[in-house]
Amino acid sequence: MMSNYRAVIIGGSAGSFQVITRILSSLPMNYSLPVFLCLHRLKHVRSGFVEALSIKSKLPVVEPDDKDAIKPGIIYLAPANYHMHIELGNRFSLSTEEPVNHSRPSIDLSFMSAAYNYKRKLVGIILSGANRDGAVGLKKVKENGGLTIVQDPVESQVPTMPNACLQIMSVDYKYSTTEIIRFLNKIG
Amino acid sequence: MIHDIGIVDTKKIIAAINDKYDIDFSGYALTSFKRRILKVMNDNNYSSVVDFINRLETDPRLFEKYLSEGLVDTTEMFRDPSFWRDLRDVYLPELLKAHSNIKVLMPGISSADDVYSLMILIKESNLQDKVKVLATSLSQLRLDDLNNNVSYDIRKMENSEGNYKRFTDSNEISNYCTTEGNRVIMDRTLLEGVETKKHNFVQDDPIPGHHLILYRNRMIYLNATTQDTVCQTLFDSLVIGGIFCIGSKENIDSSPISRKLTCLNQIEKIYKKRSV
Repeated sequence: MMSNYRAVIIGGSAGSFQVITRILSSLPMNYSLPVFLCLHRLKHVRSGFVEALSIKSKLPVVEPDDKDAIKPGIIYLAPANYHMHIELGNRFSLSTEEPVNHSRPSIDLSFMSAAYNYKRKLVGIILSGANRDGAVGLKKVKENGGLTIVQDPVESQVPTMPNACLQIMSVDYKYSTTEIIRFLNKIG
Repeated sequence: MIHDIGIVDTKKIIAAINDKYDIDFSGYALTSFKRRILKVMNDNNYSSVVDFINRLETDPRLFEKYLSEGLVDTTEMFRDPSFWRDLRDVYLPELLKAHSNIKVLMPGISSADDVYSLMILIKESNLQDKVKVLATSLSQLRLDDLNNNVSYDIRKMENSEGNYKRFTDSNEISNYCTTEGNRVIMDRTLLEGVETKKHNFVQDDPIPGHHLILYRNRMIYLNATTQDTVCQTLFDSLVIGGIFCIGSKENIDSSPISRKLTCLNQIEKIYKKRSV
């Protein structure tokens, strides 16, 4: 089916790894959207994460280089110790600016630039996590007309991050992992 | 506090700076440039772009201050410790086999972090007499910082300390600094001998004759066209056989100079100039 959406962005931190791998293993090889993952990770460990996610994913998982063009059907993981932005013209840009919410990559920054670039054609999803990074970013997605989802706090291993979103905005859907998977398969 | 400025306003600010000060930011990557402007405006309590432009245009000293504040900090010493280890163990020794003295260029430095990393490496390798370092920036204030005491928030220093421990196991970074309250003050004598020059690699001519160029995580702030221009200028600043280092997630494969470079290290992004 033709989708109204052009991209999916997912933010997560503590307790989100298993959710992410379940999502990735459910997406079919011909998935039609790019999926951006902004996950909190150790700054000094540059390798291993892509490999760990690739094991579960049918789609290629890559850490983009600066200025790489965005293509559908690819899972893009924000690289260690860089912020990942989406630029107009459908390219990535990376930066080493100061951490935001003690985080680099910061979920807020990735979500804000994606919201600005894709407007109402973006789906933003915040998963389990132990800090508030991502809430302001998800709010920006909503303000720009995009669709917003949080992992149901009842199901989240660490619900601080989804709860932070629910406190500052009205989120469109509160979904379990299974519901997130069903939704993503429907739109792409 | 302003939360966002649009593209039109961003372009107005870029045009005003270019008109008045001949510094052209139109080739910078938009998202991060916008964020820098927002930061400077919010840090200095501006609530309107018009006011901000007015002050920029009428007060050159304020402009210098904002220019310095607006440049992105590298934020840590010994970022990617494996890069610094390879430089120390492989690439510097290789250059020293071919040349008795080495000139290093650090273009567009925005903070003292990388300069300190390099100078600590040089000192620990006993190469002070053989390696000369030139650091450039388009901001004179940032260069002046190198001549003053550089200090860090102690929490930020933990990060550099962790990197340093992965760089060497035979020393402590505390040998190069003193702690006062929650500030860590770097030993300034490390930077003695570092030459500085106000220079803008986006617009100015090459500075030829260098054997090693460290330009890590600077091109991420430029757009693709400007990146190619700067690459050419830096390439022309390098001797044949000279070594060019960029950030681990920067990519120059589509740049015209890449045909004249040999990639020595794909992970750390280290290149060698093969021909003119």
